[in-house]
Amino acid sequence: MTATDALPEAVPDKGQESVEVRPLLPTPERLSQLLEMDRKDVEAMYISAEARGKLVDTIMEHKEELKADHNNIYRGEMEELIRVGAERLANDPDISMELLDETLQEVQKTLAAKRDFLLETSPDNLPDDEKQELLSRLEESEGEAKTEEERSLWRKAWDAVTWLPRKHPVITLLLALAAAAWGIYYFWDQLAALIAIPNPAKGAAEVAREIAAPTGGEVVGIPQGALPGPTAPPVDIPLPQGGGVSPGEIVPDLAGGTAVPPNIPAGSMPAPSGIPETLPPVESAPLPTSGPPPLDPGETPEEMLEWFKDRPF
Amino acid sequence: MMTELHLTLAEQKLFASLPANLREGWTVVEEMQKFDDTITHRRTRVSFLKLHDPKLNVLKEQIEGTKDAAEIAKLVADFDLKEVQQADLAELFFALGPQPLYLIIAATIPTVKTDKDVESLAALSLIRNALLRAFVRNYT
Repeated sequence: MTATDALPEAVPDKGQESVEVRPLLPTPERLSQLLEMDRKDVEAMYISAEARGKLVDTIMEHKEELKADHNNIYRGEMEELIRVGAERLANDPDISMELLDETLQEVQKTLAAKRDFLLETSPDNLPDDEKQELLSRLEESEGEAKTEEERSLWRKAWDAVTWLPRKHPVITLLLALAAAAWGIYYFWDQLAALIAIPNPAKGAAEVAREIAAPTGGEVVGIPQGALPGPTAPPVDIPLPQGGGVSPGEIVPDLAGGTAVPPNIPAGSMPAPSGIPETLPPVESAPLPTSGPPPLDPGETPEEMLEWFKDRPF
Repeated sequence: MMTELHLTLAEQKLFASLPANLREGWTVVEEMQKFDDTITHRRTRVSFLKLHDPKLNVLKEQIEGTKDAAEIAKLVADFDLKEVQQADLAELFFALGPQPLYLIIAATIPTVKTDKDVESLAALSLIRNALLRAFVRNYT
């Protein structure tokens, strides 16, 4: 049994009507109903960066009642959902409620998946309130010994990951993601060559436009085939607003930035399939003059494995 | 203690071709979970990436301080994960998602030469297994 299998869902008390427990997507309308507040007051608090904290406080004051119907009443999650919702409304005041809900749903699912993953593999990462509650529920259902056994396993696993040699493709991928989180899209073409993301034929600059930088700093996107310089054409990348990074920390500033891409499509865009003909070497990073070659067919891991036969690592 | 590898059937065939002394003591469990990641999921995960490790901060400053492609390539090539905090590793792997790990694991198996290599491989498979579980539970 794993940590996430063992997590019990919040259930209503016996004797009450059976109610499906689902996440709360905190739109202004929903909050005004749940908290019995005037809708205009909620909207005003929602869009004000200062007042949002008080709105979250109010939600947390009603935590025990809300938990009967909702399984995501955590301060961190409510803060992020309301912030993202407010940004969407600020960017598009006429946004439909369905689209706002879709945005919040995507964020909520991501935060829930992250919570489950961290609870199993690295619970010290969790915010204190979530960690305390989730770990004690886990220990109740699995027992303290089993929980400690799993934590020991994961300490060993994370240690073993650090033994990967330099230039291992996993390291390149992880650093490319870190760079994207910092607003540096130089590695995006290399990343696209290893995993199927956006349109691999697009250059880093175009991808940077689609993936809004979460940092408060300047977005640096280097167009394919060129390094920015005095004669290079300006790269049209939106600069997120908001504060910078505190010294000694690399915390992407989500406060004023566009943490979620402004236009999440109603449905998911299918990722291009396949893989490149060669893994790009890490030690040489030539700037591509054209997009990566069309990806090889092979969507199942078994087909991908055929591709790797006799190819050098 | 880590004693299991979570491998797809195709990966198991590759693993089976390794020398017996490397495979000894390891239990292979079939990885049966499947999940189709999307661009939207990936973008959202990257946007919530939170990194704190000073070693990564130094790398960030070095990359930002140079626009030279060769220099950036060298910085990446010279970087190793030793001493990167577990918390940041977990954040990065979550943002990555399970999909790229199929290719990585398949490519890594034939290069395994030592017990430590097998442990790293097992760790990657364990991470993929946990990612799949979290993603299947929440995204579908």
